[in-house]
Amino acid sequence: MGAAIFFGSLYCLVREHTFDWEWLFFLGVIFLAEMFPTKVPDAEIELTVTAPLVLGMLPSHHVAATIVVSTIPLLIVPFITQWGVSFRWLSPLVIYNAMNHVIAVAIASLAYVMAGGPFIDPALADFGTDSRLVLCLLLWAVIYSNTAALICATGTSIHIGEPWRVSAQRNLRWCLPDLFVSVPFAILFVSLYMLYRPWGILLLLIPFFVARQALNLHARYVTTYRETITALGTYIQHHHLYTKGHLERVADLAEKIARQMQLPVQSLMYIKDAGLLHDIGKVGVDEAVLDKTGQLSEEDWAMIKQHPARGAEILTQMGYIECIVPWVRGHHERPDGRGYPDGLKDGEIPIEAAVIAAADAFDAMTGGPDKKDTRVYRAPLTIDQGIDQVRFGAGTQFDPRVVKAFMAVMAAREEKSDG
Amino acid sequence: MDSILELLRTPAFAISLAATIGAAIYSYIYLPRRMGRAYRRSLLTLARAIEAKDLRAAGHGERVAEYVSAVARQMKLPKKMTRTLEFAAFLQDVGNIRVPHAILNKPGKLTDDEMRHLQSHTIIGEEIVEQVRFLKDIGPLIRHHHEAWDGSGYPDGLRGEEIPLGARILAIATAFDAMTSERSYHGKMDEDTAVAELKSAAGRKFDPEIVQVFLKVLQKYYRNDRSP
Repeated sequence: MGAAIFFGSLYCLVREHTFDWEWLFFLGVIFLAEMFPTKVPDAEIELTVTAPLVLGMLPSHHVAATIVVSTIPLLIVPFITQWGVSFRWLSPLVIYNAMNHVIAVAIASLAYVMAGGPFIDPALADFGTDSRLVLCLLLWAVIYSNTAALICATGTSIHIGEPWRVSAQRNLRWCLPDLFVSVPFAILFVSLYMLYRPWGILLLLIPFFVARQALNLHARYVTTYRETITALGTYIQHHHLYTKGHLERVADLAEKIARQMQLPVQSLMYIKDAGLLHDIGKVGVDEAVLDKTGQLSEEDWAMIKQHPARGAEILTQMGYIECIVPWVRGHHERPDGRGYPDGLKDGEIPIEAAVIAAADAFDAMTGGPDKKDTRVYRAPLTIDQGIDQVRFGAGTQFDPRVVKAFMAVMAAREEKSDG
Repeated sequence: MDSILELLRTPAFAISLAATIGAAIYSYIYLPRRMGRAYRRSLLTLARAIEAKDLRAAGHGERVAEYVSAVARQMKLPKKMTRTLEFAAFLQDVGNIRVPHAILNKPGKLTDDEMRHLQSHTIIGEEIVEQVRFLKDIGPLIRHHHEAWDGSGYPDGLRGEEIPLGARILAIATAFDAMTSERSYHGKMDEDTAVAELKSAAGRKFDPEIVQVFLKVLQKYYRNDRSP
């Protein structure tokens, strides 16, 4: 069907002999846009400005030209950017994507025409953006992105056998943010084009590339830190094997408790990292001490008591997550002042540290749901016994507010497993 | 064409031009710098974590990094490779995390079993750094920094030029620093003894050409500072 529309439009163009050098210009610009996508931090997608460009082209060049011109780069670019990937493997994907695009543009343009969207003669110098144009462009963008997302979802769900609803939801999630970018951009684009011809668009390209560079660098910045955190996580797991699994469970539980307590956004963002890295200072503790079954000597205790401070020291280096340093340092403090390393009292301990303390203690006592990671020095408690222990510790070992949230989290979990 | 000239004269254009230039400075000068700092900081974090495990490692990474970058400059290696080498110098012993304290700090000779344990640190180190994209290039250097020129090293027993160039440089710098600073297995040596040791191991343990370069660098950068 896509192919039919594509060649149909091509035929229309050839028959009308309305060749225009500006098509080549648009072809070039869309080509560039496709060549340099922008990565979005923390999400595995790449944005291109193709949609707004196509949208900008539509009112002045009619449907057929828009379809043909915008599809050609889609057919060529992937082979350039993914040079070296097997041609046989790539071709079906590229054709599928291009046809997806053709169908989406056609349906959206049909809606645009039916809604009475204006077509402007590029020869006319006089031009004003009226509200109808804006509304129709908006309509186009909504229909285009939804159609494209749905076709894409159908493809994935057939291909990997995932329920259609799930694929559709995942794809549609990006439609709205996409609209916020593409519609204003397209309107700006049409106006500039009408006023200053292709020059207006060239003016836009420079800021576009600057913005793209900024976004890409920011994405790299974030990934660098994320990866460093992962590497540190692996590093500590290599040190001592019981920590594997334990750290992840502490991170999860701490996050749940923090959510329950409605801590500030920044805390919610980083508490998982803090949970994962809270024991990083333990790399300085001899594994023989960690594995000791008998009574610990004075010296052993001194070594163990250093680990929160040492962990904090390691993490200070890393500017990006500076806020978790006091949380890591405080994760063995107790409200009654008998904790270490600083012997802080109630009110002096960061609440996030208290959250990690409770999650850490609970997981250490129960050894997690699968009981595989039990500690050498004592037999694991059952989940209920663990919960009781945490409750008994409220006010002395644990912050009462944290204990309250912890109980709520545990109750919710039980309900879930019962139902 | 007239319309474009008109456009260039409008205040709106001037404002957006200024904004664009500002944004360009931000994203082409400030952001790359911040990126560089970010690399450095996350590197230091990892280095600090290594020192926490092995106290004797303190300062070792920095000194080795200094040596290798001087050698790289002398050999006129590309800038990117120099940086990779410096990073590798900091992180070469990251795999020691898997080696128990008892072995790391053992004063006497190691048993075969303990030796195998110690040698595994090159492989584990590679595994850890491979998770960080900007450190990916240093993986092979970490894996091979204990290979020997005559093939008697570990873990893969590579010989001669099969060993990555960076790993060959790293091996010499590490050995020299280990000899001249307080590291476990042997006491501290003075520099002349260490130089003699390097010379005698050239062609056996180390790439002879790089040993020459290293000695030259040592002469140039380090001896001069101390002579007066």
